Amino acid sequence: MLRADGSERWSKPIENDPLGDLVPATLDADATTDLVVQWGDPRDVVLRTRGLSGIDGAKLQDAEPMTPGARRQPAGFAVGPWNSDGLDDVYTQGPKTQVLSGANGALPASGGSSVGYFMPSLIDSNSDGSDEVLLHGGFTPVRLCDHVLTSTLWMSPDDDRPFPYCAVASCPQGPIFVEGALKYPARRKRTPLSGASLGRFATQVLAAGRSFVNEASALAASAYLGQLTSAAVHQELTGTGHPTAVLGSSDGFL
Amino acid sequence: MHVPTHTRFLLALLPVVLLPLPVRSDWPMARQDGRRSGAAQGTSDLKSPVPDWRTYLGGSLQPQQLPSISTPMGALRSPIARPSIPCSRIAWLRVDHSSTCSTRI
Repeated sequence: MLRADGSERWSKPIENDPLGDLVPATLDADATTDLVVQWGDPRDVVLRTRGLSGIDGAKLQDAEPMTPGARRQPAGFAVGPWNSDGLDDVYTQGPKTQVLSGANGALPASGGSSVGYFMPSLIDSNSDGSDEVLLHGGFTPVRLCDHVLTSTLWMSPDDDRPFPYCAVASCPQGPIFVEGALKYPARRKRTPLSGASLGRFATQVLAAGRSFVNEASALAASAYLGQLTSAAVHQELTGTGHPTAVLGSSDGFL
Repeated sequence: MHVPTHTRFLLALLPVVLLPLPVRSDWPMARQDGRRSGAAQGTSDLKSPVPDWRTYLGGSLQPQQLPSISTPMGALRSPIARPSIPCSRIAWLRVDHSSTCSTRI
């Protein structure tokens, strides 16, 4: 843990190299933000999740190790309150979509998808005060699971290899997620996540710094079809009063 | 009414203090936040962005970069060139991800 000036505040060894991102979380009652980290065992087949105190790096809790499936290294995990204990919990994708208690590492919820590789994002898609789980960034189609992980609210019919991470824009009509895909490298998709429009996606092709209705139109204009990156959303980037999604492309355009 | 000098100084500063602070569009971690929203809350009025600077970093092609190109290869439809793992090899894949051929790099 570093101070703003780059000097070390504390360091704490873990058993192996961390997998993915260190994510800040509230895991105890003090005012200092804590951290969650995941790593694999030396053969990288068992996934371990640990909560660390933000004050001194002391171990707060270890979750039960799990086998994350054939992909072994998860795409990432999310942190947010699953129950009403005032602490954050950890949402991660292993043999199933799982919630690990931020208080003690227990497993209060398990369900969702049994596909072993997704990034979970937390979205209150129905404005009921609790988060649903959007699973994206994986080999199989994007899907939205309910808060208790017992049902899939929606799964994309588009098996387009949605590996690039999506971003979620807060729009007046509800959340909309924006994503790219590997199967259709230059295709940008926007999908509403709430109401009657849930899952009714629209696509456009971004190539050569222009927008096209489909790949055929882009190729007809001799536009190179680059691979779009993961999306980033800015709620107000252009001064137009609505969110903007930003995607890079391997064709050299943003 | 006499107003002490230091009070006048503070009063002069008041409008500055009361001005709304600019909202930065910080991106502190991968996918922006613990909820992994990928969405920043800052504001801007960006209209026509241009690169401020660029530099060549060197290095090798990594699997995460996932560059894809469409190449006409005989009867194959839109094969995709993509570095495979390990990244010392580029594989040509069909759109259904079946491999057609590969080469070392």
